[in-house]
Amino acid sequence: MENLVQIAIQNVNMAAILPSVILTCFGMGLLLINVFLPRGTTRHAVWISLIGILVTGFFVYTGWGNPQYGFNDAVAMDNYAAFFSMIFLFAAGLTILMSDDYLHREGYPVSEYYPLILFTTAGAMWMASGTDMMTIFLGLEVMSIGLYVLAGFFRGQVRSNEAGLKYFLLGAFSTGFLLYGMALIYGVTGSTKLTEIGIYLNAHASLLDNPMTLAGLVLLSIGFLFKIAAAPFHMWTPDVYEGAPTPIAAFMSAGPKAAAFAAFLRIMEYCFFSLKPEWTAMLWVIAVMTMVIGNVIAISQTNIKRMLAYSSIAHAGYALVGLVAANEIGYSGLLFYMLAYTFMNIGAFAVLTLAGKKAKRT
Amino acid sequence: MISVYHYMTVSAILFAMGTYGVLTRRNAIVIFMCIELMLNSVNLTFIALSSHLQSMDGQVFVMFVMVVAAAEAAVGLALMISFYRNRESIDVDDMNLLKL
Repeated sequence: MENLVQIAIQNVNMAAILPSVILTCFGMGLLLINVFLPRGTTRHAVWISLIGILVTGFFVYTGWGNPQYGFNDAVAMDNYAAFFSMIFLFAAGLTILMSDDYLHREGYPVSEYYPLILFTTAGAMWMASGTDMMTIFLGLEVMSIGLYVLAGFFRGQVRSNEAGLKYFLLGAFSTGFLLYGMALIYGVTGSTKLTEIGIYLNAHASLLDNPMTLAGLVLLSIGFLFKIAAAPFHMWTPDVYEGAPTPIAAFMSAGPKAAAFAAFLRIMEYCFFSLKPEWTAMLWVIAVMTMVIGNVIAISQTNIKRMLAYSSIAHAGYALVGLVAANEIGYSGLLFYMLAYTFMNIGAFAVLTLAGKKAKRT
Repeated sequence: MISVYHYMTVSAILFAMGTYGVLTRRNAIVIFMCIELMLNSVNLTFIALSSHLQSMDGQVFVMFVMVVAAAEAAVGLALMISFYRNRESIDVDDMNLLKL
């Protein structure tokens, strides 16, 4: 028993999760403050959540170049995770800035909106910093559950309900595939840690063409490609973006997409580097399909939110090319593209938020 | 003798049944139940493999999956209720406002 306690204390490194813990604390505190204030006041929530994002961003920034590993190597707050955390924080901050006015105009000045964005961002940060299947899965779900609520946030509007419900059903469905892939990989390698899986697969060449390994790889990819909104799994994107509140559509197209890319890239590079020929062959087809379908179908759209949704699908295809390259230059290209894409796409949706009138549905 | 392969086969069948149900059923709650069936078949896979490999990781993972499934159920049923209030239906064929 004493041994167990010692192990537990040695392996916990709070510095590895400090930024996301701070963000979660701000979200919780905001929820608590909301109880004591009259309904319909949201300005304080905007300020508190922005301060939370700034403080978190400060801690992410100071952790740059000083990687922290904790929880028995299940969490790694390295430069990679810090870079992606900054992307999520930018996305969340910009979304919050454009939300307040929109919520008042649409008649839903509800301050619970902001803590949900903070929790979603924290989940995305766990995804980017997870180096164990468990932490990646947990981050993915914390992020997704927040997003289900946010997509269906306008309770009285059928379109928003429908978007939330569609996103929920399809998201949970894809989670099932992701989990089954994780279970199969765990069965092949006997570990859930990404580095251990990679080393084990590299050492046992006979496992590489084992059907269970390949099935696990494909199922895992399906789960992530769904979140990325790559081509055969993109059907939910236009529906959800159209029905969801516009700032949330902006956030979904930037933050969670980058988070899925972060976890997908880490899993592919850490676990399956010895299977590179297989997964690059799979992903380049998907990248081409995503680019073509996204751009071609976008032409025939009459609703601008749907058009932007298809455009975000096409962008996922461009970013996948960095993954297909499967070398350092490709990965750094992907990272830079996600950063640029965040500002670009949130800007586009922000214009839409400003231009859309309440009477006329955008 | 029941080996790990039997458990894996059962859970694969359960997973396929869940997938089939999601693709064919029209009631959102039944679809959600099928998704839960998929998640539980994954749990069965994890437990069988965990006992086969003599490693605890799989069982810990099952705890995470169960917690997440419970949270998902809470959110999902709430979404269904708010949809029902507006449309008086929970049929996925009635989710037809958002399309081209």
